[in-house]
Amino acid sequence: MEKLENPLPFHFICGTRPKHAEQKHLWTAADGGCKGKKSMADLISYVIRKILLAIPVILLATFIVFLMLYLTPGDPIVNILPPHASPDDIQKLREKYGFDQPFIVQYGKFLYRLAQGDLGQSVSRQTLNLDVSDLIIQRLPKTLELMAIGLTISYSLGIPLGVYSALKQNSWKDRSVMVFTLVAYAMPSFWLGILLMLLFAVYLGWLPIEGTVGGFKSIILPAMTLGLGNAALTTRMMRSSMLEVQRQDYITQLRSRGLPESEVIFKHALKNAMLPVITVIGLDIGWFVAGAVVVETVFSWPGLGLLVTNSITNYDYPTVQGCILVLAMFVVLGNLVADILYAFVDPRVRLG
Amino acid sequence: MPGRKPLLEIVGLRTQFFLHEGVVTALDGIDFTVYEKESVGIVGETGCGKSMTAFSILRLVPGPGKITAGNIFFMEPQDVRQRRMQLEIEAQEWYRRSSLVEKKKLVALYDYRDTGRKKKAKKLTPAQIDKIVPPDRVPTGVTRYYLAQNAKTMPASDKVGRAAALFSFDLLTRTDDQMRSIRGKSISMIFQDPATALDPVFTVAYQLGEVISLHQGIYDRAVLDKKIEEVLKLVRIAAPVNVMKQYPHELSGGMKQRVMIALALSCSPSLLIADEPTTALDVTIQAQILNLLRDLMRTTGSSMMLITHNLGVVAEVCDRICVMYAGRIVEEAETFELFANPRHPYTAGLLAAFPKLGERKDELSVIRGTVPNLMRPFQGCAFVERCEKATEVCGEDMPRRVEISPGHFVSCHLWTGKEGPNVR
Repeated sequence: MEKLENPLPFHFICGTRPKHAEQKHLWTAADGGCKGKKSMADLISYVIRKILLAIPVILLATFIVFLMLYLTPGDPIVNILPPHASPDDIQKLREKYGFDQPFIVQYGKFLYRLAQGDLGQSVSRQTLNLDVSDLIIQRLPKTLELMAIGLTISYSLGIPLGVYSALKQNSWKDRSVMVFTLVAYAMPSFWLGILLMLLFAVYLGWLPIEGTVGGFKSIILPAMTLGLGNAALTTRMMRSSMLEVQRQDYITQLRSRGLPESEVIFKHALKNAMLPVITVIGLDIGWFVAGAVVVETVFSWPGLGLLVTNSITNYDYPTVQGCILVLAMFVVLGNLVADILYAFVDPRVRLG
Repeated sequence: MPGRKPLLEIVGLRTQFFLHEGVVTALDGIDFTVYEKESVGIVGETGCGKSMTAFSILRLVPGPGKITAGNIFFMEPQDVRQRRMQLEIEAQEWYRRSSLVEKKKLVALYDYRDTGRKKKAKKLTPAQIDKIVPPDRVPTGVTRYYLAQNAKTMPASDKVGRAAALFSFDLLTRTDDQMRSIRGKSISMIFQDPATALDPVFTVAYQLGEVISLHQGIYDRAVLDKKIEEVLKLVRIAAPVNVMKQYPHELSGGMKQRVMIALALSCSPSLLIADEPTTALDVTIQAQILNLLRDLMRTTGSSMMLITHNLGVVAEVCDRICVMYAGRIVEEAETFELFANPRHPYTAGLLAAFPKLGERKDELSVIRGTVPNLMRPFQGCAFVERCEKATEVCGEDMPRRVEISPGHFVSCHLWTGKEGPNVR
């Protein structure tokens, strides 16, 4: 009964200190002075520094894409005008949109507009003269939704499976999990998408084949296609990291203190084993951005990825540029979040 | 040793590792006793089974390892111990009288030394039994088997006898839950390297609080904090309130080891196992930690088992020393006695290899040869290949443990009375 009335303090269960603790109390009094603790001011300055550092990276990405588009043969003008348009008309339109100018001038103009917050207008036939930013804002929620569910699937599947397989190391259970992850990781996502489509949409008829008409049902297949490969990777990482941690002295030491096995594994070992997995969350987000382009194409999911592929085939340079900018920001933000998370979970890492 | 209460008594403990390549016998029939308020040193080369002894006591033998024979009696009352010893003698006599069928059963059940699997009794031939257990010796499992059988027929009034017969003080008969309540509370352990033995992602206070609330049922934060502070003060940490809130990586090596000692002593255990507590520290800190350990043992009245390869350390801290070689205890004596009269050739070699201050030597003396492969079962003494005084019998027969003077035990054929000088 005493246990119920006076339960273990919250911070004892999750290893964090409650925010509402009084200033006088030991746990919080140390926060300012101790070098291991992270304060809010540290965090803000760290985030600002990281974002400033990210700007050149994003600009570099747009430059490379711009260059690649410039070097590819073909022209958006031919796409806009009907096939029988005269060379004179083509030339006129080309001059109007500025495609006749040298590369560096074109890129400079892009940067100039970007500084004003203008991503330019689409030059594709279907969306001619529409603002690129409107196009992106329209598509962005769909991609975010897909990536969020994909990430959820990937971690909620990968982490428990990895822990399970580490705990059952070398048993048939462990081996079957490993075979599953190998297969899932080795399958290209477009092929996996088609297989899933065949099984769940065509043969079983449980889920819609493509598009967004089915509401939540229609996101399941694309999100699974996106998440499975990464789930496999997470499983393997989690497994090896868990096995590594279990060999550590401090785990034996915890057992020698009489801690129940559940606490040794799920509190101490898990928290330590999560560290390497958290570091790659940032990389995972980059992987998801690339994956989203493929998966959205396979499932006709109206997100940024589909917009990019369509724009590329239509030589819609401004739209491609805008999308790349946003996707590059995803990757940078993902890495930033991973860094901050890591610093908060591992006291040895300091923000800086 | 009259007048002193044994706290931990290990009888014929054998720990083996069952690997693909074969069976490694890490501990091969260890016998020793730790008395109350005593420090015992376990000395030996790397890989001789010192640490494995500690892990076996806590029943934390890792991986493919198993404790395959023996008993670990912990906090056994004196009367139960005496009755058990009587019963053990009875059991041994019974074994000698018992028929081949009976022996087969026993060997199959309790002595599966070579395979790790229980053998089918019927398939054993007398020759195989003789190979596993030499005819003149009694397998360690016998006592348990015989006494368990006997407990059923024992009169209810013989409570002491029943307790002894059921080995209720044997750690090896405890359930995992019971074992867990012993670990960290009655027996705790200090690890070799403090840098890797503390969980890096939790604060010192958290790790200490966890153990204290687990074993002492204190959940109130204020009380817990006070308790943690006290424990840290006990190990002479100058600013306990600051250290509490720090993470292990923010502490120096010596501080970490102090925290480890605090963790181990937080629930005032009756036995502290220190596994090379000073090896990873630099020399000045070593002395501090050793002094601290010695003082704490004196003030708290608990016993300590100090595992080390450093003879200087044991000489300073321990009352008694066990010398281990290849999974066996070859010599056991009071510290002074051992240093003055080393009887086993291995102990003598060890002491000779220890350079003395102020002595001029061109070359340090060494014990020739290397430690034998533990995967190969020895017929006789494990030290035979390196021993300068070895005779034929040494390679064939395992030497018995004999008490050559009060409290001085040696397992060596030189001293069994068969050959060489006799007890003085």
